[in-house]
Amino acid sequence: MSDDPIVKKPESGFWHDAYPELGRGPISLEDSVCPEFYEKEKEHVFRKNWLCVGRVEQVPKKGSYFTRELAILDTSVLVVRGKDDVIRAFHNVCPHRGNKLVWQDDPFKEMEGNAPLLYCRFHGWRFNLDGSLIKPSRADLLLDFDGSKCSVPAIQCDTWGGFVFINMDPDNKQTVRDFLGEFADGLEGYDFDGPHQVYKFKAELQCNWKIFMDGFAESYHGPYLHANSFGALTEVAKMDAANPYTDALAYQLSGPHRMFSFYGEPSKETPFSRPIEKLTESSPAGPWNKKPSDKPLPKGLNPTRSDKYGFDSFQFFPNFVLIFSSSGFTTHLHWPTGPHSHIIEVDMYFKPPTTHKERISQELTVSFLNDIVLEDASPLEGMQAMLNSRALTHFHANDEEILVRHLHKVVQDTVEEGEKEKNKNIIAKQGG
Amino acid sequence: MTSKLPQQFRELECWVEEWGIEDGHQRYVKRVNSTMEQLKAFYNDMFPRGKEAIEYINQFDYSEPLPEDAANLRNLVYSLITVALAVEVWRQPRVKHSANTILTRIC
Ligand code: FES
Ligand SMILES: [Fe+2]
Repeated sequence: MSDDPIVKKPESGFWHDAYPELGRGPISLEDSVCPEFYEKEKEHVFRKNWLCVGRVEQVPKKGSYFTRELAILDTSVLVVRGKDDVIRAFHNVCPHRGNKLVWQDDPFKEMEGNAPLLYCRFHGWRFNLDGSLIKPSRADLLLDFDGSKCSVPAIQCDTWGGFVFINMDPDNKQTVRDFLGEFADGLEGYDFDGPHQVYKFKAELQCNWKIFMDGFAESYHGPYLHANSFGALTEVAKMDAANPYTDALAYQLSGPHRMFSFYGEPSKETPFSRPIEKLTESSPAGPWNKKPSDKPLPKGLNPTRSDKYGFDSFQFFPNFVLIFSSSGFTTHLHWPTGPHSHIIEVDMYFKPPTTHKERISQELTVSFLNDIVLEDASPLEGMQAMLNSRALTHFHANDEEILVRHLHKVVQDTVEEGEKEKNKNIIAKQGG
Repeated sequence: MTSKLPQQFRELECWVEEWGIEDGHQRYVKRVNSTMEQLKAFYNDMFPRGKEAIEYINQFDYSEPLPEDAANLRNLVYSLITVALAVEVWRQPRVKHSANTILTRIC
């Protein structure tokens, strides 16, 4: 691997100059407020792109399955590993009369488990793990019935890096690997396989999903929004000039996806360490004094080859954020539940501890990050309410907010193109 | 009767029932439903024994389940972490400015 930086800031000093097609002016905030926009976003953004719904470790054996309740797709998704070890996705519905197929106790609660076949509790029809019908009950009563046309409805499913993706668009021809594009090339060789120590959190917040993603698309809010958690450190970091503690090392855009690389030092004791950090020898950046991995980083990580490198955050279109740090990797998935609400899922994949001390150090990191995510979320519900007031029509994005600009542009462009395409098809149908 | 904590941590036994919580989400819920006085009382008793408690727990093989008294002690250390963030960082039970939002910890 070469140590040459693969990304450099443009000579002008503005990241925007590397991406002139983005524009620089105020950005319409209709996409985060308007209920009609939300319906179009559902159709053109969420129903036509690859969406990450989980990890292959959640379906470890033949017959392992999990369900996802996804309001944005108006469906429940069932992911199953078949007898042939192929991971498939289905609408979680029985093709007899439409009972929800896999659930226990509460039809809207997600679940996971293992089963030799798919069984519908309503009239006892049975299906293979590939969705095909084994046997309807009461074969003596069937009328004009073709069992080969009665399968659990499939959804396209693919994996990359151990992540399971689905695509609701029956016309989609692209693999998930192609969809993720050159960022996935740059992550080639990363050890996604684990084993992992997994920590998971989730919450439903009363704000549009993009508003939350925007908060994780820049880091110069640190000294302001995180004044409480980072305390004295933030006083050092507040300055009205280029700032190595808060400005990204790099921003990169690639098709509908985007990433930034951020400053950091190996986790260790600092003058700002809190008593509990000293006690557990850990910080939000991870357990202290870990020896760096001897494996070289994939070429897409630390793209400026900085020796003061902390983490890289990739935002894959539309709603999948993948963050790499010295502790491992973390995902954020954003699932809209309405125009002004969404569920955020934060999953952290760390190296399994080998001692109790390591486990306790991880507990500090995870607990601290939990609180910092809440600090990041703290302005968002009030903000959404004020956006809903329509007092503003646009918001402003500076050079450090280039990813914010990009997310909104890609979503708005995708909706616009999708609508154009749809209208063309309608006219073609009427004309023909 | 077996004791709830290893011999040398006996004086912390009064905290086991309240704060010996293994489930991460329940620990957090307990924190946000406590007063600052309650959090500080636990913190002030527990923190000075923290180092020693971690060393004690760390003697055990991580791949084996902990004996019950050591597991209780470890749960107190986990709670100390949860509570310390309220005491040292936020100076209130909840994250500052977070209204009543919390994350649900699944694992
Ligand atoms: S609805 Fe499933 S068997 Fe009838
Ligand atoms: Fe933040």
